[in-house]
Amino acid sequence: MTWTDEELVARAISGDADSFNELVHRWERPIYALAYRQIGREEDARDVCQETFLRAYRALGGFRGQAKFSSWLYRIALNLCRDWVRRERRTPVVQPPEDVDIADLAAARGPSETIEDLVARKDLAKTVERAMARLPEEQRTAIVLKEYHGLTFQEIADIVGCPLSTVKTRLYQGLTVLRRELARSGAAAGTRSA
Amino acid sequence: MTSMNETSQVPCAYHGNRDQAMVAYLYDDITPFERAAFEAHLVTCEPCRVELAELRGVRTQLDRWEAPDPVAFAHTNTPSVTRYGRALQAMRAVPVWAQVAAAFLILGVSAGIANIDLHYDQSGLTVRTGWTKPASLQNVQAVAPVTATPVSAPWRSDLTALEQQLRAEMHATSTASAPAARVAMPIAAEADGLKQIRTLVDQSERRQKRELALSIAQVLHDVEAQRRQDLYKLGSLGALQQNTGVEVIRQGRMLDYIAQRVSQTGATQTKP
Repeated sequence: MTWTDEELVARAISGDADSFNELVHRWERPIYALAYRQIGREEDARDVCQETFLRAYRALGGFRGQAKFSSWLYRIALNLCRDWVRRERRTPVVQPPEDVDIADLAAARGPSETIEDLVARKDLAKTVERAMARLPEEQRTAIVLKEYHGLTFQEIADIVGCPLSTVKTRLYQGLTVLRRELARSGAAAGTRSA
Repeated sequence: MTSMNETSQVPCAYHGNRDQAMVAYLYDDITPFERAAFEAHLVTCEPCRVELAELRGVRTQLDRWEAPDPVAFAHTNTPSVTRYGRALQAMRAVPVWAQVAAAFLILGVSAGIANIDLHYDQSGLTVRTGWTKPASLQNVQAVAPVTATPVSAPWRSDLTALEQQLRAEMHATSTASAPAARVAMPIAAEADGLKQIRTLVDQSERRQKRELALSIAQVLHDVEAQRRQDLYKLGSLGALQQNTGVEVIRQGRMLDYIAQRVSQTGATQTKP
């Protein structure tokens, strides 16, 4: 039987540690991906992810279920990411594309993909990553939560604590900046091939 | 709202917030009424159609940005979460009464370590703590019951011993019927003395609680330091595993290359 997040939370509160482990197993990848896209460092994203679950566990008794468990978790993770950026006093890190290892590329290559296609795909990903890193934090957060986590505008508004209309505006502004940045960096080839 | 989009200089005459409607339509997170209104607008507005197509292209490009595969993370960090989760779980599972008893036990041990020495004589009340002065025989006797009942606070036995001493002295004074002694220890002075004792005991208790809090903070700090050290070690193991995998791939490629060259060489030699 598959438990819902809220049922697992209730069981974890009543003392079932395995239920919390199931929640960790269920949400560690989305939370890690969110942290990585917010701060751009794998190691730090791992730390943020782990800290998110530790904080969630400590505060589990205070979770009243007004929001979805995932939204609550996203909020904790975003707060930690924001703390990280402020503590480090820098914008999210973008790793240079020159460090791409050919062995890694070969391992990541699809069965019908040539090595040239693969390199182009990786370059495009780096271009997108670089453009995202230049966005203001609130625009980047809105795009990440909408684009990569599929949250509704209302859920994003609840998580970041702003009106729904503000979320839409941030998203539109962020996408507009990205469109300009990607066009400037010559990523149009990726659009054509898509 | 009337806005000028970037793809054209033709003004857009959409009624309402065009940008918000555009993004809501783009992500299909829109009410049926708003969708119908925006679709009707798109039919007549070329700039909005162009911009919508471009934003869809941006979404396609965004799709190419994948987060790294956290396989190593899944194998290394989850046990840590589980471990600390279980530790916290165990802490929560302890009943409140047991936690209170443990706190009193630590408080008693701390007071014992602090070597509290209460003494009342003709010169007044004396309270000594620390290791500078060895405990007197009387205090050793007073501490003895504490070791027998470690849950109770040791200062209680000291207080009891002091009370017994006071009673004995008062009894000796009354039996001697010495007027001078009565002057030296009037009832009011006795009450003041007891009040002073209570004050000092309260202060001592507060100090012990503060020291207990500091000790707990130190323990938590040590646990946090150990956690960070464990995380660092796990990260190093993950990097080592990754490097080994890359080396295996390289070796495989080299073997493929050698096999290919050998087969080519063999084919050349077999040709007449």
